[in-house]
Order: sequence, then C-alpha cells, then structure tokens
Amino acid sequence: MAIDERVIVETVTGMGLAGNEEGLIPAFGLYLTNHYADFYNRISFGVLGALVRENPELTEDAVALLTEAAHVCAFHTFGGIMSSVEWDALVQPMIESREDWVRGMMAVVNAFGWGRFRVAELLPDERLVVELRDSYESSGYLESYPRTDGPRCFLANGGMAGLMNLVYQGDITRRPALTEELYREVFSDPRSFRSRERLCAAKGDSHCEFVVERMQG
Amino acid sequence: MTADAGQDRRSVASYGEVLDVVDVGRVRLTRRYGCIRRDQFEIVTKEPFPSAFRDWIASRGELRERPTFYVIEAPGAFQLTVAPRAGRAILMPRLATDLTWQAQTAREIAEVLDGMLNHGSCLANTRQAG
Repeated sequence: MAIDERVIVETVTGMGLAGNEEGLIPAFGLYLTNHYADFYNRISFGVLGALVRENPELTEDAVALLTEAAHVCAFHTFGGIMSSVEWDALVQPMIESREDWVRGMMAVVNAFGWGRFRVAELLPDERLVVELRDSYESSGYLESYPRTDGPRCFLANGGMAGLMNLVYQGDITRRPALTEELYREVFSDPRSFRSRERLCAAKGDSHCEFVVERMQG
Repeated sequence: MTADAGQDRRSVASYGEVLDVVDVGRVRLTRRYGCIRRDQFEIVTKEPFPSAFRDWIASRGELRERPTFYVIEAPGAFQLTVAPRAGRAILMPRLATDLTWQAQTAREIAEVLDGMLNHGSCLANTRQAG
C-alpha cells in the first residue's frame, strides 16, 4: 500500500484537534498549539526587520536564526509525529520504503493546513524538491510588506531540511529519543541537509519551492 | 514504576528523555520526561490490545474513535491515545495532576491491560486443552 494522502488528510482533519482546558492540543504525542498565522508572521518578520534596520550586515544572521528555529521545530514536531501512536496506526501501515516517511509526513502537514505541499522530486538520501502553494508565510508577508527580493518562508524552508535530516540523517525509522544531544548530532554533521527556498511567492513567484540537499555531497 | 522513579535523572533531564522503563507482566511501560510538572508514558505490548481494554478505558472519559486508533479524553486527568493493532498507547497527563498520580495511573492502566492479555491467553489455552 502506498501513501494515501486523502485517507491521511481525512483522518487527521477528523480528529477534532482543539484546545483542551489547558489551552493545549495533545496530539501525535505532542502538545500542539493553535496560533494565528498573522501572529507568528508578525514575530518572525518583526525580528528580521528589527535586526536588519539596526544592522543591515546582520541580514544573514537574522535569516540563520529564523532557520535554526525552524530546524528545532521540525526536529521535535515532525520527529514527534513520526514517533507517535497516531502515526503507527494511520501512516505506518502504508509505508513501503524510507521515502514514504517523507511523503507520509507531507500528507500530515497538508492536513494541518500550513499550505499545500507537494513533493516534486525525491532522490533517496540525496535531494528533495517541494512545491508549496498558499504558504501562510509568503501570503502573510505580502499582506504587510511590499514584494521582497528574497524568500520569506523561513519556517517551511527549515522544516523541509528538518524532515530530510530526520529521515536520512537521524534515522527516525528506528524511533530514537528526540533529545537535544541527537539534535546537535544530526544538524551539526557536515553532511546534514539544508534547504534553500528557490522560489517564493513573497518575491513574485507563482508559488514557493524548496530544494533540500546535503551540505557536503 | 514508582512515583520516585527517575527523580535523580529528572533534575537534569531534557524533553523526551527516558526516565524509567518497567515491564508490568506483558506490558512495557516507558516513562519520558515532559517538563518539570508532567511526564509522558508509553504503553507497549507485543500483541494487539484487546477490545475489552477499549471498553474499560472508555469508562474513564470521553471516547473518540477513528478507524485505526482511538482517544480517551479525561478532562483534568489525562488523554490516552491508543493504536490497538500496533499494541501501543501514549498517556499524556494534565498539568492539574501531580507526578505521583501520573505514575500511579500509568501503572494501573498497564496492570489492567496485562490482566486482560493474560485472561485472554488463559481462555485460549483452555480452549486448546479442551
């Protein structure tokens, strides 16, 4: 059985994910939160803007910080989901190859409504190209700022690198404990994956596109 | 699994770190550090969970069923997510409970599940013997 995105999306959207009396959403072994996308965008782009206004030479550092935040988020969120009971019950029975871990995770992400992600290319252990339409980061950026000359989907971009690192570098298929130690080991490896946002709607492209490759081939 | 288990490790633990692993009969119970006020408990068996377990745990809260898993929501107490065919469940306690209660509840669930698994085996053996 190959990954059936329709079944995954229908099941996850039917889970009734909503905040409990603690204001948290316990699901996939995680405590999820439901943020307004505009709230996240305001903080993310505000950090970038504040740093760059004060010190334009810090642009790369600001982007690196936001990307690092995305790596940490992906490690715990995607890693937690792929280690969860829900994953075992819903996605695991559909998995036939390591690449299906990537496709299965993409289906769960689409169910969360973070945009419409589509795997355009996946070379095992080597390269991932993902197209993203209706990205809340790029559309949110354009609601508040003029068209930019650089990509702006920092969380999605770092998330894609995080996914490839979990599957091919950290071997999430063996269900390792998602500790800080493992995070450092995986992401500081010179052969770990990094992503670049080749196309971004915030700079006028029709959609966003991420290319994930190893830092050192 | 006692309430004090993992106390020494707790002081230096980070999120997701395993604090304690115990076997309750045929049930493996793993305790992981969540934060200073709550842990997370994984309940694993080598065989599928019996349907009687779902009926029993459903009495503890609200049952939400999906085709391949189910969730018990006990407000103010815990959420238990169960993949019965995979033989795996995760207990996520609420912050309103203390660490002692969390560990005792996880243990109680594991003991009940083990009892059901053993009961099922005895019946199966009896039938074979008969």
